[in-house]
Amino acid sequence: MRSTHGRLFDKRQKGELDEEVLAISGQLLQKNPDVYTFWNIRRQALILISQKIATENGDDEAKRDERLAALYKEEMILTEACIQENPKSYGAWLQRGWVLERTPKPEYQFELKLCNLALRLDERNFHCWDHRRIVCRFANIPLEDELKFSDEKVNDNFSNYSAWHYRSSLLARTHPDPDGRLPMDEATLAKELGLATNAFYTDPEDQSAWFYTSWLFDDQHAFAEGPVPVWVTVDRKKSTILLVMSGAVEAKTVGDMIATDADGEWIPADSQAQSSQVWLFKSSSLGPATKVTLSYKALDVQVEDEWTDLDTIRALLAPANPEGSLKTALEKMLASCQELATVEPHNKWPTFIATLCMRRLEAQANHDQILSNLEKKLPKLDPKRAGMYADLANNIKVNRFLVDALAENSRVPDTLRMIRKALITRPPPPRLTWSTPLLISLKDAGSIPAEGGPSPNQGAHPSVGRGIGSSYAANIPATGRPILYQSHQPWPSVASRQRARGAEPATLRDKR
Amino acid sequence: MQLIDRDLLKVYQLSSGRVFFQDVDDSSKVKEADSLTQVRDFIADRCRARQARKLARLQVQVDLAKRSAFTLLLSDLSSLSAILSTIAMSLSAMFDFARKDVEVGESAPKELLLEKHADYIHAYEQKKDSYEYIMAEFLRMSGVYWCLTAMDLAKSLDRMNRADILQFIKESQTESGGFAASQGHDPHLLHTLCAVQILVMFDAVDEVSSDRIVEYVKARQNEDGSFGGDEWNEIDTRFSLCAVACLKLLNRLDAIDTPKATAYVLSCQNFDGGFGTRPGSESHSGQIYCCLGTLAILGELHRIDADRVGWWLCERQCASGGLNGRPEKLPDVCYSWWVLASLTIIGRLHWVDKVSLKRFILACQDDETGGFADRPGDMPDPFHTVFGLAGLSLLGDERLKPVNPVLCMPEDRLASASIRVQLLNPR
Repeated sequence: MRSTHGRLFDKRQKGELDEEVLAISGQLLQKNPDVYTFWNIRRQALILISQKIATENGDDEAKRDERLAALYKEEMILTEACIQENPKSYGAWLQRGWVLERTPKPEYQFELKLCNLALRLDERNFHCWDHRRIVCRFANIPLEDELKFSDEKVNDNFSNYSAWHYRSSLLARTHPDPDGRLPMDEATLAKELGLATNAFYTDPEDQSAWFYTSWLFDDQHAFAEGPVPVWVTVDRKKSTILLVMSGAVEAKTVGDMIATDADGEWIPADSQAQSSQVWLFKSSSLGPATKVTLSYKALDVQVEDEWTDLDTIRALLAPANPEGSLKTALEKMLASCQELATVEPHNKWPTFIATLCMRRLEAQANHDQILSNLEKKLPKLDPKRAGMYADLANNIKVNRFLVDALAENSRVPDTLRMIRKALITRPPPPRLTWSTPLLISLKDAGSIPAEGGPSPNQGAHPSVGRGIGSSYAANIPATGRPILYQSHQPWPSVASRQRARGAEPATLRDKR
Repeated sequence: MQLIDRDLLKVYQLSSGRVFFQDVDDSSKVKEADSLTQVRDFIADRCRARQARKLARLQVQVDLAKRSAFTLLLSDLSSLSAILSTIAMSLSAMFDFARKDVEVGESAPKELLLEKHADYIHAYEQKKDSYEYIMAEFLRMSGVYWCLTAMDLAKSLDRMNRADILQFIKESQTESGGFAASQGHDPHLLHTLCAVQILVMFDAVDEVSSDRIVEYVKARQNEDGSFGGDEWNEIDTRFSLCAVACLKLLNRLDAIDTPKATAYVLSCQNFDGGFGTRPGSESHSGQIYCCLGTLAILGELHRIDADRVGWWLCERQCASGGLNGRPEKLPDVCYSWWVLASLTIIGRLHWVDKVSLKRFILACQDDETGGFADRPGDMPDPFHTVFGLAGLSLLGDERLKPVNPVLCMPEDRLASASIRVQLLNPR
């Protein structure tokens, strides 16, 4: 073995990339298809040999193509043998793709048959699935055909995560939602909800259909078009501007969005971040007269002290409940999950997915039931994931607090003032997203007293004690100052950011 | 449910313990078995029926990070009793597979056998004439990185031969600037990263030309932001991590188009929040680790839905406490790294049960030879050893150095080189 190997390297070094090299490397690769260098040498030899064939057959294109096709056919036979030896060899599958690109007579149908065979032996072989996707691209196989294929695979065995995954990427392209909010158009979505129900009824312990189902509950709402600004607040005394987006953006977008004469720079809440949802502009020259302009798409507004898009914030915190046929399909799904939960009392999946379904249908009306599942039922059924259920419950509680606090008849300005105060004093920890609420942890949250009220029990926010739980009162700190989240690093100073930049120029500099 | 052998029969076992099997010749009927013995007898009858064939193969494919097939060969049908005992022995292994989980036996190791592991790795380096060592030439650079990282986490790096290793590294650098698995082999991003990681651990980066390394890495980036593994341009998100990690360690991220690198990784995000090899590829723990690591290095972790991928990741934990790589697969100690590191990067390490996970990892130790195997009872190797130790380090074992969840290197080595990466804070 060592000497064959040695001979191969020897020949390459001498530039003798010929049929013997093909023979030797073929031998070695059949025994171990993972030796990437041998595949490289083979490709070098194949390129030279194919060039020779091209020059030797000059004008006779037909003859040239015939010989090339034969050459590459040998290659396919070798890779097939290697794949049988090790169905998960990166090198062997890569070589097949490489040949398909070069051979004058690619046999796409044969490739698909090979993929089918390999998948029958191991339906989860991702090398094979990836290769199939490559073949479909080369051969311009219509997506609808592949959708039918995924249909077959899924119906053949509902426990085929790979097939469900393929389905998810196909449907998003073959049946997109015209509004861009749902994973696919409503009619198809209803059908898929039914298919998924069949699947998890057939095997309630298999994760595939359950994960797929949870995806069907997706609602992109405002995310569909990318992050939008939801809040800008200008503090002319402290010479700062705070910007909150609905999703993460990089410094350039922020700079394009907010124009001001003051000099300073935009700092992300997370000092190691290139993109962030919350940005702070620290300046030395932002005074009472400085212009601050917010421009985004149709929006073009001068900000004196504050600009909020309360409608968007409310929509993000509490998206509209589904209606019509989608609502009916989801209700059916919920009923199926709940029924299965009674039949499979030890299985956490029906209960968890039912919880997510309830949230999708009517998050506010189902609030108590959702919380009860997350805090009581699920940790018992599935203790390993207790940490996750606790976090989800927390997020939902804080979300609810914000929904109430920002409701139309409540003291919105007070709430915003408190949140802003907290945000400027300390940047929010990086888990600030709109799928989880603005304030991180109810446990960490103190009460939010009316403006200027330091005492924990005076002037408490109206929503305190309003059935959200007594955990609020328990967490009011002795100092009376509201603590909305765990203390983290203070906002980095401009100087510290420049220092950090000095150490790692590439990571912090925004690439204009 | 899991398929055992399509030629012979389908066997399913639910987590409740009930066993069902299906005769593919009579596929309309799913029968419930009274016991494993009944299924074994059924297989034996089938073998007898196939006496015409000299060789019958029951092939069980197990998805590990590396090796793939567990093959039970029934080679001599004339000795039926031998066959039956072989089947019995292997059936439980097959049913472990059917349950997609393993048993952590009472006699499995429960304490960290740190000195044994250090001895194991140290001895591995010595055996340069062994068949194993020679055959591993095509991945030696990675092998050296696994061994050194394991030793350093175990606070025993000084037991390794620094001079020899540095010499080996220099000999493996090629004209292109990239590093090969070993001398004579071709350069590749995988081995280039490992070389740089080793150099950082030994504080010897200036002993090679980093400019040439940077040129090699830069040349791997494609128009769409993806990275090819080498000049043959196999595209895989693993290589995105290799590239940015390499440059991060050399403080040269400016050399590539980072926004495009980010955009490419994000284009690999799937319906379940996870990431695959390329756009459209199925989510896989190893690939998720590579993508989250890439985003962490580029400071772009806020662009993903951490709750969604965190959920998928914590569902990798099986009843035994071990972590698998994808749904319905067996747990493997190396996923205790890929999954755990991923969860740490997104601040959700507390979404797994640390006690049972730790028990599983410790059970993967070989208490005779030292080292960790992929799962309890199997043969150890350096690959699973480093990831077992790294996983335990993330879980807070104080006998080990703290490990960086993105770069899989001891934190102190990175601190000395002033290297910091983004991580999402836990609650």
